[in-house]
Amino acid sequence: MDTANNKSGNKYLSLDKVPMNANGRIVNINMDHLMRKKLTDMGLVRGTEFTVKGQAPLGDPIKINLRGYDLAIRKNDAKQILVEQI
Amino acid sequence: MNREFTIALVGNPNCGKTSLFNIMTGSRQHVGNWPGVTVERKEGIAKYNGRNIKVIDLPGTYSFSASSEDELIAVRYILQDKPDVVVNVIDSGNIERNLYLALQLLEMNSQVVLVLNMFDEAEKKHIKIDQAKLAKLLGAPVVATIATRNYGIQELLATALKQEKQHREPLKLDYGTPANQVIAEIAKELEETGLATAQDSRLLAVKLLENDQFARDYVQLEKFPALQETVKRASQKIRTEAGFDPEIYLADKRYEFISMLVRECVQREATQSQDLTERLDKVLTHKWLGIPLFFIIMFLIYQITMGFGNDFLGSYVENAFALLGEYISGLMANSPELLRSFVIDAVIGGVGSVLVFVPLMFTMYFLISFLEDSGYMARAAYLMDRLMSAVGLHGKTAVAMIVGSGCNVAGIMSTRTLDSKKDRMIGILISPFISCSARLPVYALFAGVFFGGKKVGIFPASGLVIFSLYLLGIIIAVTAGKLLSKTVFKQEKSYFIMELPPYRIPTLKSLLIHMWEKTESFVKKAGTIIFGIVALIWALSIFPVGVTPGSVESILGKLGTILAPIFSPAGFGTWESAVALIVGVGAKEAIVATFGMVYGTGEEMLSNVLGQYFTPLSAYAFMVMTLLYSPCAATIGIIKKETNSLKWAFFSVAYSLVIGWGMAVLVYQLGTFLGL
Ligand SMILES: Nc1nc2c(ncn2[C@@H]2O[C@H](COP(=O)(O)OP(=O)(O)OP(=O)(O)O)[C@@H](O)[C@H]2O)c(=O)[nH]1
Ligand SMILES: [Mg+2]
Repeated sequence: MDTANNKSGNKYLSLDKVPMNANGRIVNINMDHLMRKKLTDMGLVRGTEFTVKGQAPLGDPIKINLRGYDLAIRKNDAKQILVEQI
Repeated sequence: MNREFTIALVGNPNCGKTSLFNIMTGSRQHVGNWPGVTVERKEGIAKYNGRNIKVIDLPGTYSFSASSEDELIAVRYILQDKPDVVVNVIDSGNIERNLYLALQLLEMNSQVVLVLNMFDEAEKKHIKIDQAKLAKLLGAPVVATIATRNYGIQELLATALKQEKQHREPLKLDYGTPANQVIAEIAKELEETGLATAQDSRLLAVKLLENDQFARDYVQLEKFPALQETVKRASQKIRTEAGFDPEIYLADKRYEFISMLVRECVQREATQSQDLTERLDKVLTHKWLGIPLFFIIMFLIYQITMGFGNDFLGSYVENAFALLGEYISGLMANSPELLRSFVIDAVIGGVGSVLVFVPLMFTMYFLISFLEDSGYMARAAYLMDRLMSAVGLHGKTAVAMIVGSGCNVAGIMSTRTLDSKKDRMIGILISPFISCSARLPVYALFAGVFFGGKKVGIFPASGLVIFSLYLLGIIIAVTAGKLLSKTVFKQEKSYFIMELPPYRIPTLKSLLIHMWEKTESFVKKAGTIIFGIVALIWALSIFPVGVTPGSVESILGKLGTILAPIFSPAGFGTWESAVALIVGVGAKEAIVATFGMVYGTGEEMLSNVLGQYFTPLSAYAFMVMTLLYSPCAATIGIIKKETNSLKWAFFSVAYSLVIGWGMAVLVYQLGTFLGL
């Protein structure tokens, strides 16, 4: 799944694998109800565009920018979010 | 209806609700640049045109549902207390995300005013918002404000008042078919069964369809099988006809609508320049520098607190108190013996020994406020999460720990922002090990006497001693957290999802206000609780009639003598120490006050005589004991309240007593063995 490409030729990968400063769009959020709900409430849903802005020391959590603000999320959780790089 | 006109401030975390509240009501509630500062409801009165308006400040929430305790308080308040006007505060620089909550509030059949706060920041980001159009599309009045510059507040109050006599058409967001229809059905059924009013039935219907836990609990869905069935059928219908879970489907519809709003009302000019936040984060959360910088910042806070606050500023205050003591005892030379003893031993010796630490308090709170207002606090959680999660803790617990280094009660309250029950319970139970400002006078006194004047490198030795105690507290807290997460709370899981706000330059005014607030409460506590405790033990120290006040023959001395042997292995088996420690459970400052009373002689300050009763080693062991041995009464109370269990409160006292005593003994025995 990691390297699959979609129709428009964009690469599918999980959020934790997106390189620094790259942009992406959320394709699918595959996590338990509570966590997905929290992300939904904070504006991270299917179709949301984002930029990976940084990572904390020791590489975790990562910081992404979406809808004009910065959000921190653990890599382990980000793994369950499928995105396409754009 | 005779109740006061009430408006409630509702909005995302960190959008400026409390800042607005403070201006409107003239209060001085805690403001800080990180999400989750306010965790309880606060009330105040605003005046407009001679009329009183009750204003309610609430914790922030991202949505009309609740994943943590603080959000629950906000959401429940709106539904249950039904304020006359819901003032939805929106961070203008972040309008897209903030509108998600707004849409849900607007679906209620009640008065809503939309407040575009932080309008200055939107301008700086070159974001232009067409207020009139937004108001028209959403069907609610819009007011722009800048809380930090007192801009737009009068208009906000005027607009809120005006809603009193108006009717607002609730927003009927078009969810498409079949959602529109099933929502109407559920809403109708909710009203018919009396579970919701016309005011909130639509919103609750949507939330039930989303399978929202808060809404389900609120209407107690499991008790109404018929309704449950309706909701289930509706969900199924959406799933088959729209192809998605209702939860996803409805959120999508909302965000679609928001995209339309943003397209219509918001103009954004792309800016290329890197802003302050990005540049600061490059350094402060740098791969290698981030964590060392964090510890250096913490280290400096305590060095400055001790070096400047206590040693420099504090010495003036101490001298002033010494002069005062001398002056008063001169005045009272001919007063009755008892009165003299009370004034000189209890008031000056006891309460006075606590008050000399005022400069230390305000230096520390000034620095901590700086951390909070700048936005570094949220980074602390971000930086520490990896380390913390390695031991089964949560990044936000680091914030609770920093807040707790001011006061454990506040630290425990701030665990309300933790989403998982496990993280929250652990946060509550380990908080008391974090050294709070009330323990600082004890350290400052002992470290000043036994390690003062010496230097290690460029750092004062007393500062290092105190820093070592803070570290010890953290180590014990983290270890306890690890054990708890491996044993009692092992099955529950947790996640870390947190907004990182932009850095903001703290205003001197807000730093001074915060510092003043905390110092004031320190002084008040000295004048009330500490005074009360001191008066009580003073009374115990003069009976039975005829004994020398404060001697070992007094009731107090006898009590202490019984307990003293317990502390002998730790090097401080004196009756005075035993009494001080018992009293310290009431409030930790009282430890200093007790020594001040039993050792002090009024004219001579406590710091001059303490050297006769402790060695540096036993002094250190005593500080370790003070740090760990039991939460203070207020903290025990809050543990009981927040865990909703007497058992956990009792547990927390018992295990910290064991740990505190054990560590003090360990330090003393090890030190003796090493010949210190
Ligand atoms: N530039 C600017 N900063 C603001 C404005 N209003 C508030 N702030 C700052 O934003 C930060 C958050 O303010 P608070 O009033 O604590 O926000 P809150 O909504 O009560 O936050 P929580 O209690 O955590 O939900 C503080 O640093 C304020 O100084 C504003 O209009 N303009
Ligand atoms: Mg607040």
